[in-house]
Amino acid sequence: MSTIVQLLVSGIMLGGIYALMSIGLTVIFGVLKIVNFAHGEFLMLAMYVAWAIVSATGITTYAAMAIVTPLLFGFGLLVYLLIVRPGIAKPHLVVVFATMGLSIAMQNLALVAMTADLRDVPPLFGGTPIKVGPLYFRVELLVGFLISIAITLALMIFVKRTYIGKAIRATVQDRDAAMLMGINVPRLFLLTFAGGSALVGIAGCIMLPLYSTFPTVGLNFVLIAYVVVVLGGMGSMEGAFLGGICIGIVQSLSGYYVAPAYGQMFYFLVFLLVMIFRPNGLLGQRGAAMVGINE
Amino acid sequence: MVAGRIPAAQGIQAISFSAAPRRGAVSIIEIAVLASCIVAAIVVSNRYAVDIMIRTFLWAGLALAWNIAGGYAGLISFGHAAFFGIGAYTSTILLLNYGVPPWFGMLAGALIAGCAGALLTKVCARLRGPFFILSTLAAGEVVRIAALNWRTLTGGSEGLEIAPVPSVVDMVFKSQWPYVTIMVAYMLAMFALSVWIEQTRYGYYLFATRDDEDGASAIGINPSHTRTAAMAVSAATTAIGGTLFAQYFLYLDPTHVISPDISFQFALICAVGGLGTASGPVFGALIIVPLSELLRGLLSQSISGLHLVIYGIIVIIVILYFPSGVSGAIGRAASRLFPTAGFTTRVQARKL
Amino acid sequence: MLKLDAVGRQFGSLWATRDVSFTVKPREIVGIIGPNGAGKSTLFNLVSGAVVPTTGVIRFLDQTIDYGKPYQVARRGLARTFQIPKPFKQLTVRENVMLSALRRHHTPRQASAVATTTMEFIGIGELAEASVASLTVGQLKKLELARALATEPVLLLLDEVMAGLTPPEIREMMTVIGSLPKRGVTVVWVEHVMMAIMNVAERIVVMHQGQIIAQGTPAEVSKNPAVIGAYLGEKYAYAAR
Repeated sequence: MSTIVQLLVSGIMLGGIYALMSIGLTVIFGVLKIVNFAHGEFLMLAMYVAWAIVSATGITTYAAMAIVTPLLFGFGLLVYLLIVRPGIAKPHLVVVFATMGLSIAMQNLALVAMTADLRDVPPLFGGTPIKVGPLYFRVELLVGFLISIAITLALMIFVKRTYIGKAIRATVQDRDAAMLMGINVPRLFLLTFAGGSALVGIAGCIMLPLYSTFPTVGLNFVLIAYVVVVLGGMGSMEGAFLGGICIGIVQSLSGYYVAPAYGQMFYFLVFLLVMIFRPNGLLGQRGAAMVGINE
Repeated sequence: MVAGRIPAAQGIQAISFSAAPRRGAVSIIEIAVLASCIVAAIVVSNRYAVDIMIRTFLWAGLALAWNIAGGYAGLISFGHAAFFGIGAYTSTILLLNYGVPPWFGMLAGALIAGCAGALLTKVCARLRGPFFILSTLAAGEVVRIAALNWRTLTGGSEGLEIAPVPSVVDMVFKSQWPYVTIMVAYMLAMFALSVWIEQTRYGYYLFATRDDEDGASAIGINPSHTRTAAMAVSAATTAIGGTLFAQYFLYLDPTHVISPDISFQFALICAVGGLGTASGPVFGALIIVPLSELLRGLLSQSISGLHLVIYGIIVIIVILYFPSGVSGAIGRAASRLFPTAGFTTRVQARKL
Repeated sequence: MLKLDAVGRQFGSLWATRDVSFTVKPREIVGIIGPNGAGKSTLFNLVSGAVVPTTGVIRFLDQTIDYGKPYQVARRGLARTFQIPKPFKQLTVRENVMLSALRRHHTPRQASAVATTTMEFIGIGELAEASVASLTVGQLKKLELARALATEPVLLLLDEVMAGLTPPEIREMMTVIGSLPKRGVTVVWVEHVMMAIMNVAERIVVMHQGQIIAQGTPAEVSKNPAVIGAYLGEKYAYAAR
């Protein structure tokens, strides 16, 4: 009994972190109506940078967030200006190919620069788990989860209360109407893309203590992110959070009860099942999957 | 030079010719390029060069196969390596376990892959754009992981080996000549198939469905049908290429055969050469495969992966600034050199 | 040819069409008019199979249409034009028309011949090799009509085909549409340009807020108080009585 509870709770915590990793992807899709195929590589970049900072200076990855986040914001800005913006008004396959190309380039740049060796950081508090009631948790998992919740909550408040937040919601619902209402949509695109990237930066710092980083680490996680986003509904932050929790639980349980080799296959099957039966996800806009984008 | 027509022989459609690459017509330039491929195949004897040629022609054929789904039907798939793997593994397993000659095993692989492709499309029928692409990615990964773990069937990560014992029946040859011939035949067959599709009613229906599904529906086209057929054909022909690959390299393992890198390469070649034209993939392969050899030669062993960095950058530049690829560029150049009244400068099925 | 029986369609809590019944006989030209929001576009979407009715039955050629598969209805002989022309942008004018012609003629060569005749009939013969992007509104509308006619339909739905045309173009279209019954095509036509539709259609159906409020010849309908009330307001309806 307590095993299940342990698994569930760890799953939820992991899910919260997955949610943070995926929120950027879903908001970018909701606002810009594109899928960033290099999302996983952004995460990989964040993890490597965080690792470099931690190894060089000895500060914790959470402190490194202060540097990694603005860096990823800037990187997102650059990518948007150079690669995404030229392709926005064109058929969607342009952005698809462009971000795919970026993904491959980044993966292999990492391979060339850092080799395929796994990199990790020393655990906090010497690796002893924290005891909360009858359950044990890795410190990094708990801290990561708390940070994720805090940021997700902050984001939701931001989106509901601030002007930019309202602008985002308006653009997600109807881009043309938003433009007609005076919202500077192009600037919003820029901010959203860069902001989404910054979120990935935070996620990377949180995930580094839990997972090692290597050039194709992005591939592992981006597929999880896709599943989370699709499950929760493209464009919905709350959906991404919910989706993340679900996937976290699925992974936690299947990792224990099913052979880990097949574990990865589970996400894809979940993904395909969601695509087949409920392509709009749990909380997504109706018809989002049917219409596609850039029509 | 003016567009000309060869009168239809009995039962065969008239074949249109034109000066520059143009959808629905075979251009002089394309014929020249293909002819020089054939000539090169016959004439060149340097072992290393022939090896590159073999791979170039194989990849051209594979890219042409991908193009049927990705370029003509608009079903961009980054999981096509799954079909490639299905073809390669099916014929190899049949050969190793049951002694079935790959000439037949090839067909079995094509059949299975075709059904898989049709299934995938039917299942993802309502998905558009990036959603469909993500589904293909996921499907590709499912196949890879299944292959990796189903050790009894596929040998898992150790892979499968075909004994290098020359035998025509088993499609293993000592000299390179038969391989060159087979690969050239594959490429030409795929090219002919692509041109044929472009010129028939089915091709028109494909382009219509790709460009505007509701509009196509309104004139009586069944979009789901059209797409499924395209994907099935694309998958089946990719699988055949997979068998040819297996018979030349004589070694398969899931990580290298069913990898996202391979899927990406299909798309890369088509993008560089010109999406949605019959000659695009050929031009693309003629550029990319020798280029990758060159890079591998120039850069030392320790910098593996650098060529992929370059590919990634190439894709970004091509898709943003030269979306109609090489065949588009050639078409524009040709029609500037040979302008004729009534000759359209439209170069390819897909204008970006 | 076409029979609607108490057809209704609800979107959320709004009945876009409600209890619509009328019949169309072969080779008739029936016009549908009504103020904006009357449900005319929904009606076309229902008849062409793009939208499924909430209530009622639609019968085309004595077979019911109630599935959401427009291509099946199209194959039975129904063609429609769209209010905002939606040609295939990547193809030339000729290829667009050919695509429609391919429905009945299976080789591109035959289809091309049919396309040529259709284009000449409509009056866009010289534009055959032009790209769609270079066409004016009037030419686009003619292309829409050509594309619909090239499928050799028995029933043609025209959706505000006169909108945006200059008076000479309107007169050309009127002649073309008027000659369709002789070529075996039945026409159901939604229109706002009164001059055109009142002079060409044999029978008019007037819709208002999703329901039919009048049916009859153009003359009868234009004097009908309910119709005047719908367009101009109750005041004028009272005055016309």
